[in-house]
Amino acid sequence: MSEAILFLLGTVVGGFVSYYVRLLVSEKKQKTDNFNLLISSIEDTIKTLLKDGSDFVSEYEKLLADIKAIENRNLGKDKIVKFLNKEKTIMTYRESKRHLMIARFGHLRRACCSVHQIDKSIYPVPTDKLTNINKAIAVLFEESATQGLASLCKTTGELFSHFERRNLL
Amino acid sequence: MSQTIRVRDYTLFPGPRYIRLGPFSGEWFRKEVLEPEIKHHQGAIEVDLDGALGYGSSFLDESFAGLLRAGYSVDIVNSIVSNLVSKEDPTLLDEIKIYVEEELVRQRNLKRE
Repeated sequence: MSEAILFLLGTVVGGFVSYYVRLLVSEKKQKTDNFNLLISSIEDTIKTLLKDGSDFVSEYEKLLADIKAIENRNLGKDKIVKFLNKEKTIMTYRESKRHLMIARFGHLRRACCSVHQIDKSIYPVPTDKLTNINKAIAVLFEESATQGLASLCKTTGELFSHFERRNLL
Repeated sequence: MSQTIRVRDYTLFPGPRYIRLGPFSGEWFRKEVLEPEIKHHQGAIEVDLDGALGYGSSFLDESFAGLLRAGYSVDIVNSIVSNLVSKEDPTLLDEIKIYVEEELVRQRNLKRE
């Protein structure tokens, strides 16, 4: 009789323990999956940011070539008018590209905060690194396109290091 | 009673640093929105950053650290910064504090020179 009770008790306790262990394992797996998803999202956003920056630099280089031609007086009146219209278009293009990159940066910032939310003990929110990326975007559009792009490469690399990932470059 | 300024009431797309660089710039926001409200309410204002698409570093720096460059006292700027609202993205507040702190360090270094 007592053996039967012990057996029953053992089965119940064993069931609870195995349920608890399974719960822990599945929670940990869920955490890891979420973390990997967020890191992939961060990688994708950074790749897109770098591509946007690089596209903008090529466009900017073309504009510089036209400005040089004007300085060297190689352009006729028609071409100058065309250039001025182009410059206006570039201004609009620059603003739209800037807004787009800032929106992507916002996504990056939210993803970094979500990583922190998954496990607060491992990765703090990299506020200084994110601030440096935002500054690099400003340099790209408002000061020097090439320096901004170089700075963007450097600062995004630092963000990767924060998450113990290899730099994309 | 402090006055609440909602950035989204002016634009959903905050712009670059200077007025010459594009619409809704940080310079425009500081000169046309923040400074008149600061004067009118003796600095008792609350700036709500929620609802906009995103903020470039130059917009934030020119709007808030720019107040120090425009001659507003550290106390007024600190009170404005401590009254900022950003429920959608709380890390934005840390970023603004970094810009204000950097400007204070820059001004201190200038005084030393």
